[in-house]
Amino acid sequence: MLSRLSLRDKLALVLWGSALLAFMVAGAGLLIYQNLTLEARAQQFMDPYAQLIALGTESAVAFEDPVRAREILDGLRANPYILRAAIVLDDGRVLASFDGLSQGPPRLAPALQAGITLADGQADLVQALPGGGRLFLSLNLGQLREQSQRMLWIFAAGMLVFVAATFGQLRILRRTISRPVAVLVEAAEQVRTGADYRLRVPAAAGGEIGRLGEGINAMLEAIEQREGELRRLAGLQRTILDNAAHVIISATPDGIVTSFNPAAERLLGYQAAEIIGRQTPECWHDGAEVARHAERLSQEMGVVIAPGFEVFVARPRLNLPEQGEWTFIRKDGTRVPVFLSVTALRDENGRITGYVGLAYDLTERRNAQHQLQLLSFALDQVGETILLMGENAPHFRYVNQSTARTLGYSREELTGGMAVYDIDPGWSQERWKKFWPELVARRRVQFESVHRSRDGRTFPVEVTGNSFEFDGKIYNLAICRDISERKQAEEQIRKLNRDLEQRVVERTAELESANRELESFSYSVSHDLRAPLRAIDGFSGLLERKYAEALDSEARRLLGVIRANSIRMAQLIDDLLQFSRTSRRELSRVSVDMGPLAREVFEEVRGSAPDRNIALRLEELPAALGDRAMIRQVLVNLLANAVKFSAPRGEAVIEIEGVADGPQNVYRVTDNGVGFDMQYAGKLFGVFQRLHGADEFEGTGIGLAIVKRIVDRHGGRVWAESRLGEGTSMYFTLPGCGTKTQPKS
Amino acid sequence: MRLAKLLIVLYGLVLPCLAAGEEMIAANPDRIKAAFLRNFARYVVWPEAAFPDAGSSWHICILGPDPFGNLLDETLEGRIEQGRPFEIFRNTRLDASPSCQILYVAFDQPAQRRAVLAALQHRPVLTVGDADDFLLEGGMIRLQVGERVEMSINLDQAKAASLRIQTKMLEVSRQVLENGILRTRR
Repeated sequence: MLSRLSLRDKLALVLWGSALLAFMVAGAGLLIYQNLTLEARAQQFMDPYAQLIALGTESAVAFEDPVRAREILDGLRANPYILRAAIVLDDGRVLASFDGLSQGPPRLAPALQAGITLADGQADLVQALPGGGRLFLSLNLGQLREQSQRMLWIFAAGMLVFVAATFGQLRILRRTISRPVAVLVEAAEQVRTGADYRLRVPAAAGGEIGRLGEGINAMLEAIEQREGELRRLAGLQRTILDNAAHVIISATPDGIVTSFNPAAERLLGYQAAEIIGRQTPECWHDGAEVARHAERLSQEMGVVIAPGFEVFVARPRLNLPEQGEWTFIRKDGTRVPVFLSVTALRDENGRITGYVGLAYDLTERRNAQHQLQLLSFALDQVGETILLMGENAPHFRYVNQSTARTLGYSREELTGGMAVYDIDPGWSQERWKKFWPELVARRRVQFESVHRSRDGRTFPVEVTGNSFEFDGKIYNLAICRDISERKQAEEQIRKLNRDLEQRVVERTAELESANRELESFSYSVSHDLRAPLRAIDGFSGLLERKYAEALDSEARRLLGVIRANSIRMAQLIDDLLQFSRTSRRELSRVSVDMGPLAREVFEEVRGSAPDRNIALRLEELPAALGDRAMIRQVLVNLLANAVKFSAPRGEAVIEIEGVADGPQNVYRVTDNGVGFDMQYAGKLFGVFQRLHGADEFEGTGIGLAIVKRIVDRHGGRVWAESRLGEGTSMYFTLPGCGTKTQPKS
Repeated sequence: MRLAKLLIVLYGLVLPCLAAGEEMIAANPDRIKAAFLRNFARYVVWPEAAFPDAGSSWHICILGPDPFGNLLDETLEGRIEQGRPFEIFRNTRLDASPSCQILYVAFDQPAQRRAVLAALQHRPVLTVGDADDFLLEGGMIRLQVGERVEMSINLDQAKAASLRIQTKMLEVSRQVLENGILRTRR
């Protein structure tokens, strides 16, 4: 009842109550005090008189002087409250007395004991005097009562002031507390009913009320801010729900759907409006799957879980995580794999207020997983060792199955801290420090190394390190191939090559020896053939000369043919012998002054046709390094050909010139003879090859073969250029010796 | 309150009219005189030299015919004043008396009294007597018996004998002779 009163009434009640209480307690206390202390106060009142009289009447008592005693007692008459006084000597005689009330003899106090007695509104004091005798003193208590009454009057006046003060206090309190509080209450009420937190209570000046007002304002501001934040948060929540890629569905503790976000609409094909308020799982779950889960959960948790909503919330309810893969059935009946996690929503007391399920489509992830598994499987099918290492780290992050198989470690061991150093005895940290920057710079590094398996077996490998950047980090994919077989094959090939070389050397030796035998054979054959020829020619000549008359002209012609052929045969044999010699003879290399040699040979060759008009144009020729006799033979053969094939010309012109062309000198001998068809140029340097008939130009067909053989042996080349009917140029090269020789005229 | 005031007023009016008309019952005057002698030991101050030593008793001498009889002995019996007990000496001649602090001169003859008093001049002996001219004869305290016992004091004589008489005693005396002037107090 008291609590229903307004603050103002409460304050008034308290103030008035305390005032009344104070009044009553103080009044009662005062009365009690007055009564309790009456005797003491009477004593206190009378004591000074008694003392005064005792001192003053000392000698009067001693000398029994009633006059003096009377004089002193008369001093008491001035005090109206002293009713009686008497001085009585020890023997009972009254020395002096006075009685303010009666005419008769003073009524003496019955008590002779020293002390004070209160009775009949008066106090009687008996006191022994120092010089003997006693003093009797009676006091009218009216004085003291009057004192008490006066105090009561003062007290009442005080109370009046107190009441007035209380009124004043009440007014002050009303102005400083009740009214501001009422204002605050009204403002708070307004805020509460209007839920308008922008309102502010009017500012009160100072004090607790002012601070209370400020506090309320600060609180309102905080609430306004909080409300703004809540609104923003709600907006954020809505935005998240609307835009989340994940399916977010919330439900009451009984499984009634309360929210269904756009992602859920997209995934399941239902509209939020047709789902909210319905019981889950009903629409998009596979009943059989739910039943399977229920069975598994029942086993797991040891209690029977009914297939239904219970399956999803049994674990979250116990604060256990509930997540797993499920199949959702879309509105159109198609199935989609999802990952679903269910969480319980709890209020601040831990009571469950609902559940929220988060799900996302696993289709793509499944595909990606499949792709990844395929890739991983494929890598495991590869025979090569494939190692993946991180940035500047020789430790393996991935190894394929082949690595484990080849090296004898498990994949877990390999990826659990093993590094290059553990499988390759040739690697150290220093080598890695040099290797990594090189790999990063070149992207791809290939080298051969050795791997060591768990059982200590080592085998050669070819390692290809590939560095690449992925997601901001550099990785190293090393592919190592066991090259034991290739190494063996290479070794075999090397061995075969060695064998082959050996065989070539042997065969060459054999061939050389066979060649030598052949050449010595042909030399001896040629040599031995000459003797019968000489006999044929000699005896044919003898027959011709001795039997010239006996033989007719026909016979002589035939003999002539025999002799000509035998001579020709001899010539052939000579040429063959020479050809053979050029092949066999050792070269003695000297510097050959080509100019004078050419002139000397020309003069010699020209001698065979003295009647012909032959001009020689000899240019400056570089000196050659070679066998002088053989080079002379080259010039003889070439110049003889030039003279021979220019015979049909009235004026034959032969040019000889040479230039240094690097280490080789190129020489040219040109005539203005009959020339030849260039299509036969290939046959030019073969033994016994002739482009012209013997009847046209004599010759054995060995000359150019010898030229070629000699030039070949000097490491040079010989070739011809010609035009039919215009002349021929013969070129040959010989090693130069760095100096040029002046031609001699 | 009002009643109390009325009472006070009444008291003020009535009290002066009520004169105390009581009278002391008369006692034996000699007994009173004996008590007076004892009281003198309290209200009169003697110089140190008046006593032979600190522990010596009061010597009260009666010179002449003793008026007290046993009364004085009864009065002083067992009493101690200023730490000293009392001794009473009765003589007929001054020179037979030991040195006294209080001397009661009971001679009837004025000549006898004058001789004694003259002999004691300037000596610290309080002389007490009841003759009419005792003060004029050179005595210090005269006791006279009327309705009651009264005393007169010769302060000049006491001063000459180096005795100091307290004011309290003067307050209860009838006549005081000081500086040669006799003043009657009542």
